[in-house]
Amino acid sequence: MQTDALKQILALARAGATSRAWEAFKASGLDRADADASALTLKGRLLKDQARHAPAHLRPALFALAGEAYEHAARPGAETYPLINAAAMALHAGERERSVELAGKVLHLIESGQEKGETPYWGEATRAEALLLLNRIEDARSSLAYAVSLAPQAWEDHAATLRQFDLILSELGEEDSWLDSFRPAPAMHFNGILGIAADDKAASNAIAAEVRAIAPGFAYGALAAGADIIAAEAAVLVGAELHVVLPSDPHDFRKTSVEPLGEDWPQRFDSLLEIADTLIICDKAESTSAAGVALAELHAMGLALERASQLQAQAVALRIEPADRPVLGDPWLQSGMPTRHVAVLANTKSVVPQLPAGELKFDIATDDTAVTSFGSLEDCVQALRKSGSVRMAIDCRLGETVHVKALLPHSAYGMVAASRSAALGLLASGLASRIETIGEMAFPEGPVELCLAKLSEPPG
Amino acid sequence: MSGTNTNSKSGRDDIAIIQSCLSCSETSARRLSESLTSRSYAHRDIIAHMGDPSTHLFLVAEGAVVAELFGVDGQQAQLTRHGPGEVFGAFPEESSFRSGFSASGATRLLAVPTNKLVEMVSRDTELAAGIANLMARQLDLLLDRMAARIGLSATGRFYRALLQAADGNGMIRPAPVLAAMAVSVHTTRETASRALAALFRRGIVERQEDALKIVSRRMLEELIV
Repeated sequence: MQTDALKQILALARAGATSRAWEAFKASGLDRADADASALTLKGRLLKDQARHAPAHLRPALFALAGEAYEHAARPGAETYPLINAAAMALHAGERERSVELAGKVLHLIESGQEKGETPYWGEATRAEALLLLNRIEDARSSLAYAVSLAPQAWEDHAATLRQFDLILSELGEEDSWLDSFRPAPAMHFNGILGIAADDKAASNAIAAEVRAIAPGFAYGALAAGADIIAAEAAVLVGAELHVVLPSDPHDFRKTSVEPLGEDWPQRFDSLLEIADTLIICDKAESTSAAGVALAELHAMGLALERASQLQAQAVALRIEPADRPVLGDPWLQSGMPTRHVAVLANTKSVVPQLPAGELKFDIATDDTAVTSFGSLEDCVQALRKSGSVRMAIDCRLGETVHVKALLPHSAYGMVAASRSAALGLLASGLASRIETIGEMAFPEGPVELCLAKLSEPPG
Repeated sequence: MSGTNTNSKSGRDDIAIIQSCLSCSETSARRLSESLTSRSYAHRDIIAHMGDPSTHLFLVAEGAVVAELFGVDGQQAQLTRHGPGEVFGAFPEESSFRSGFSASGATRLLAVPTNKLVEMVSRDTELAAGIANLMARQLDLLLDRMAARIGLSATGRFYRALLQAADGNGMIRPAPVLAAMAVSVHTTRETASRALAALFRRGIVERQEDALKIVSRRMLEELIV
């Protein structure tokens, strides 16, 4: 039971609900669990989060309390993880000598072979952090490079280290641009027009050149015949992971958005699906519709932004359209992230299929009102803000079945319970600053992943 | 039964799937597999019409099955959906389908004749216990749906299964059959494969000869969401 409580609190903290996480921690009595290393480690994390958001004059005391919790969590055989955090907290609390003392202890534990770290990466990365806290910056840099070489694709772990190094270097007043060489390649969202001829070399070359310039590590989008497929192929060629998001079952999508555009495209579609790292189908029950395509685009944009945020990487959108097409209405514009454009000419000979319109609805629920449906996420968020409700939920759908009321009990104070599609849509539209998956709910139509979303501050 | 389904004898992976879903010995799983047929369906293929005779119990090995009813107004309504590791059909007696069933995505079912299964469970206590556990788990799933309870994500369930399969030293020996472990936690082989690849990538789990080793139990536990 305690593990479940710790997990729920950690999920709140990860979603950015700093105060709520601390309240839940205290309410469960875990703040008095002085002998439980997991509870003490979480206590350190929660106090550190509070310190980061506190007014400047309160920060040192909170960092000191966080360091104290981490130090108490250290136990024989598992000392380096809490102790390196304690050393960093001491630095942020203004206790430089204590920080050096603890960092030295961590370095000794690792270099004497008494502790190896939880994984090969973390063993060396912890050594690098200790060196950094000892102000041995060149040694820290070499050690971090070695750590990364031990697990070159452990991007989530690299990101955690980079966040920590950013803070330490800032505290030490040292230059931090050298960290950029350790950041992963960007996460790219791609989309564009359907009507490009399969043998249009000029368009293919222009798209490939732009993709090479972006050099994405991760590419997200659909695979409609034309710009999407060309961009996805180019992304794979530069070594990016390909994450395909389709509005409907691949069989349906191929029939409506690939086959009608010419006989060269279906085989290219199949080949990309075969090598894709992931395939997400937004709604298997529905046929491909314009509304479904819009939902899949929101989903893919949200995934690219989420990935970039998780990995401390850049997020970039690639838009492939005729030069005279207005970009208004692209949700990416709200994300604050850069967009790169490739101007192409639409092939006048190809017949672009007209998809059925469909209807994308966004539902909200609060404690005080019945379920309300809207046509846009912006309207939903505005209504939620107006409601002033303690608990809020949001969902999106293409069909008739409404689930949002069932999500409501899982909302936390100030945090919106959202289906993953809706949460990714909020992120893509700049309406949420953070989302965190907290589990899965089963419905007769299939499982729905549930997230907590922290709404962005309203403009102004 | 209709649709463009293809039937074949069940294969080696299917024995592992049965063993994993029923928590039974390989001997019992092998015995049951001799009476199994593997049936594959394309997206939206009809598996059964409402009122068709129901003479088999089906285990969803890949994809999903949707049960739909026509209301008095002629509108089609989805009654439920069975994903990987769930069963539907007739047990312990042959009956008729109470709703129409169709495939959602490319779907593969393992089918065993109801009468044959009843005969086998009356002689094999491991199989009987396995079927009872499977039914009980499915009842839990149904109650979770009714109560709108939040459970672990598919990746979280897979990680929990890995932890449960490990001994005190973090060893999982022999290495699990991924397709089988995936079905037993109601997810797809692709999801399980991606989840395991993420653990290898980060060094949280490492591959050893005929075994997997959990390098960091704490980090794996943290991923169970």
